[in-house]
Amino acid sequence: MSLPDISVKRPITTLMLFVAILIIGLVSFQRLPIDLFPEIEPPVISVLIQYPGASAQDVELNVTKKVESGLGSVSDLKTLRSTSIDGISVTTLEFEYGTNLDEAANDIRDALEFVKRQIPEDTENPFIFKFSTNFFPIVFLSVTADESYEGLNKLVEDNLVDPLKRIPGVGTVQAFGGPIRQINVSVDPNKLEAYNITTGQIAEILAAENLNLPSGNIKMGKIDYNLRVPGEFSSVDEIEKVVLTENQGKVVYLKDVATVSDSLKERTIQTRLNGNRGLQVIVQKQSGANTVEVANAVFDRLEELEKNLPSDVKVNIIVDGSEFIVFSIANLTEAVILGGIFVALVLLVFLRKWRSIFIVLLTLPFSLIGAFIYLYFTGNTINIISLSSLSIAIGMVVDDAIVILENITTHIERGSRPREAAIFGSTEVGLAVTAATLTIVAVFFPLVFITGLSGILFNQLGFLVTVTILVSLLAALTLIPMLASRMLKARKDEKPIKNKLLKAIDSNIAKALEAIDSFYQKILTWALDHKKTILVGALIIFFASMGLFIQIGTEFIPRSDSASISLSVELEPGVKLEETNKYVEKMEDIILGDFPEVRFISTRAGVNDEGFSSILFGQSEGSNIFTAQLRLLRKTQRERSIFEISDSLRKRIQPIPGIKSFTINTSGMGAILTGGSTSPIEVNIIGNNLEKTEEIAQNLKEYMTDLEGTRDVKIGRGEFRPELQVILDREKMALTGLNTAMVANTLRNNVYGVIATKYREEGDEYDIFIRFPVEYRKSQELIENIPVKTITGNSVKLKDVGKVVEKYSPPDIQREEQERVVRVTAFNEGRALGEITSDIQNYVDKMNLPEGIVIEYGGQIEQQAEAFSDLFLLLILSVVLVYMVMAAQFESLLDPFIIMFSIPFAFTGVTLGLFIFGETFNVISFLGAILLVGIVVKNAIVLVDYINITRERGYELKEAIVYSGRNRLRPVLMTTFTTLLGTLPLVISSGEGSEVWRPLGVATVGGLTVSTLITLLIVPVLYSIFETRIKKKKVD
Amino acid sequence: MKAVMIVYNHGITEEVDEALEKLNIRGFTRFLDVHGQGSEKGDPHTGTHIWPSKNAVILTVIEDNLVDNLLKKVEHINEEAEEQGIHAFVWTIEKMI
Repeated sequence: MSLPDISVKRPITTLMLFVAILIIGLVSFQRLPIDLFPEIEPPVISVLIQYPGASAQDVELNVTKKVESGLGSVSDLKTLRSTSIDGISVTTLEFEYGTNLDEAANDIRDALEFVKRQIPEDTENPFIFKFSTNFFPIVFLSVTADESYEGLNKLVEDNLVDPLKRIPGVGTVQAFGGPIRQINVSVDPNKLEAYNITTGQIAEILAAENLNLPSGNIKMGKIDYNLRVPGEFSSVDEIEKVVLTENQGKVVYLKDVATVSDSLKERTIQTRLNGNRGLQVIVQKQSGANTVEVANAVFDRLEELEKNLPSDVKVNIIVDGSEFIVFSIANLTEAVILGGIFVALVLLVFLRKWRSIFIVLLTLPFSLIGAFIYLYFTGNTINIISLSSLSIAIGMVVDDAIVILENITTHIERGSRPREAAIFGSTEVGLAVTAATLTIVAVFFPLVFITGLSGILFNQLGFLVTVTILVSLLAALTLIPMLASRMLKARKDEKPIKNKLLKAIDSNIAKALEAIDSFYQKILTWALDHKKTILVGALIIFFASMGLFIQIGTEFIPRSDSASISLSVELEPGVKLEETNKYVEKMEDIILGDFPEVRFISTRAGVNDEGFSSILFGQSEGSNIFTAQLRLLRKTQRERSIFEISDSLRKRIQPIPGIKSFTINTSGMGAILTGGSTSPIEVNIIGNNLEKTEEIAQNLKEYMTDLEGTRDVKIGRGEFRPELQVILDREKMALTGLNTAMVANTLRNNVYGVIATKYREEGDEYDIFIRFPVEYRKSQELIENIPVKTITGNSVKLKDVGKVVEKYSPPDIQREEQERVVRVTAFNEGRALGEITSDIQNYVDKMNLPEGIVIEYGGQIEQQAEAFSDLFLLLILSVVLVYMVMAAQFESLLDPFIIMFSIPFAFTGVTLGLFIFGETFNVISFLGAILLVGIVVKNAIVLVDYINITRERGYELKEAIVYSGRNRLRPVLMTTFTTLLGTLPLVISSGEGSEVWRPLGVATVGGLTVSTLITLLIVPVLYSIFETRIKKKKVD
Repeated sequence: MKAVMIVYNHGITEEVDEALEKLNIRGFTRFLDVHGQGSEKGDPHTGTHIWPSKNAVILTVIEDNLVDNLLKKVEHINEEAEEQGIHAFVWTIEKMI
């Protein structure tokens, strides 16, 4: 009993099976979360160690190097990179994809235990940071205020941050850039000297006075009393009255040597929105939470919360991580639906019977629903990858049904009753259909073997198309025969069309199709008589297309217009924040004035939490650096793309004096995950000598800046920046009873300042911060005059034990694989990455590199090379697997070989398509080319199989070829057109995110068109040549 | 008593069954999946990739007066669906248990 047999005889069972699929599918669909990409956990762990007060070079020598050598042996490690900046060492370990990161983190912890003994004792405990896509903020808010600005931070913390944190799915909410309350104690250095007291001592005294201490309990009578000393400051005034010391019989209060003020923390960061002062709030989601849901919940809550804020406080949404997702998904859904409609139109033209169309079309929803069930039970999401997979599958799922239904119809036309025709018609071609489906599976399934980042994206494609196609095969073998047996009419019951118009259309289409058949028959007969011409012609077309292929640029992943631009501007090193702010204002004027597409500009200048978080994400921060986030109108609402806007923005920024370098990054949320966040071009100069590598980097930077198509060329290591160094004289120090630590601490307490203790009010804590007022720390001379208290209690000036000199030092040192590296990075615009890369490689090859300096390539160049070699392997694997499936089906080694000749022409088509539509050859188009291997041979299988059958039935070779060609033309055209038109929406859509999947559509449409046209001639001609030769041999 | 052997394509099983039913012929023996080929015309029925269709055979032993009616029915089926192929052969039954 075959599947069609069972399903025709048990129609209710079949129906129930598919209704069950439908119900489970709909439930799954409803519960499927929506996201931009499949969940990706980048296999990256960073180790962060703070070494307060050390310079970048000290940090590198004493901490980073030791950590690197300790962690170098962790298993599965792919690359080891590090950055050392003042006071912080960050070592980043990148693992192979698929590594168990929990185990890796444990290994790292163990290794760090050993390292701890070798690094200086005053380093803080290592902090292990696991990188995750959840760290990317899903919502970015900007809060501005006028009158309420002073208290904005607390206002936002209480009325915005805390309530938002309580929303399910929200991970963290952080506000930064706002004014922070602080109790400032400004000490007068002259008075300190007069009373012979130091800042450090004041800090100790304040800490000792600001104390609540439970002191035990006392039993008196029947009662047990708690004994407490509530010594904490209850008001700011109280702090002033703390007694510091006693001088000549008089008590010295804090107010005698300092002014205590309840004010704000000195700003290291300044954030603004559209030119107004304010602060920024970022919202991150919890791991596994749904971006779209969480973002919507945040916006809903925000609406309520805004009512509680004073009227001058405005909240603006700068980045809405869900927006791009929602639009992309909507566009893709549209593509899938449109694909379905196109498929229906093709069926309408070829079948012209509504019952047949209905039966074939039913496979569409069932196959798609099968995909949703798969997605739900494997914990996946509806995302760009899964939807574009469906969009590719949509044209293919009807193929099986078409072939089966066609054969059933043939049986009915010969006089069978629908029921018998359904059973026998399906059984007859069941095996062939299964084999054809297997060739598709043979191409898609190996996608699950791809590793790395592209693997995560393509695995889902592989599984999804496999599942969809298999469900469609199941439907073709069960549902289609069952429905055909019930719905189709026997020959004698067929009613002629009565409507005149419909009849005219019907007969005209029939005539047209008949004409196409005859036309093809003529051409095919001609081709068989002119085999050499056809072969030479085909070869010329193929080699010409390969010549064209060289013209097509390559890149890693197509860029998409995410409607957001981030701008990072670096001024001359050492420029102070106040100065940087002037540039921020200028930039705001330019952008708001001349770029009407920009909806918001949110800027941030200076350093946040000592550069802690930015170093983890590989950004640079400094008082001379500012970043701007621009949010633009939707892609469809503006004329210029973000790439054009960025370019014209570059032209505006270039002439501004004082700007050392700037980068404009157009990769939005999506690109971050696909690796687009790293610079497309990255040249690593590896070598220990700081000066020599710097020289090469400068040289390379100049070359790359002049190179066509590069933008924002930048040297990764910051420019050596001026610093004041205090060179101490150890002899003089020894004579006065001082050591380096004592001097350094005194300096730090006075210049940087010291947090003495916390002042508590209404549950919130504020720092009590002691420091010299600005007027005592604004020149080299004033610093030299800072008094330092010696061990004997006397006080000497700093200049008595050392001198202050101006020096230059690198602000950061990067290392890779335990060696120093300088990265020269650039973006590309208007020219393919591959071309630029080969230019740079040529230039580097001609360079005379000093000994010990090596140049390597990273960034997207590296990712592209890795992904391409993976995909190339996959291509070979697919070709071999497809050959094997066909060899088994034909029980012949030669026939599949003939069929394989249609594959090269698929690549001709891909090249033509990419060339005409101006796309590049990237991972996505490469993928399209691979998929074509399976789709394209399907046509040739149908053709060659039928020629074989016809010949066995006794036709002569040429007769058999022409007869089969004419006979099979319609099924070939029908399946080709369904696949073609099913994928067409991918090519024509222009909405958000369309850039990513467009190459796939272009490759499929181009490849399929060309290869089908050529296959219809080349394969019969080759068949004829091979068969004649073999026959001759046999006769000989 | 006569034996009628009807050889027909699987595709017209229902028609043959209906013919027997109409004539109230209860007894029969059916052979499924048999291969065969006509002497003059028609496609072979060999159940292969080349000739995928298969035949079935009904052997029924009936009263003499039913034979002509049955043959008429067979002829009618053949007219309706000639491409499918149906043949009937009649011979005499000598003894029966």
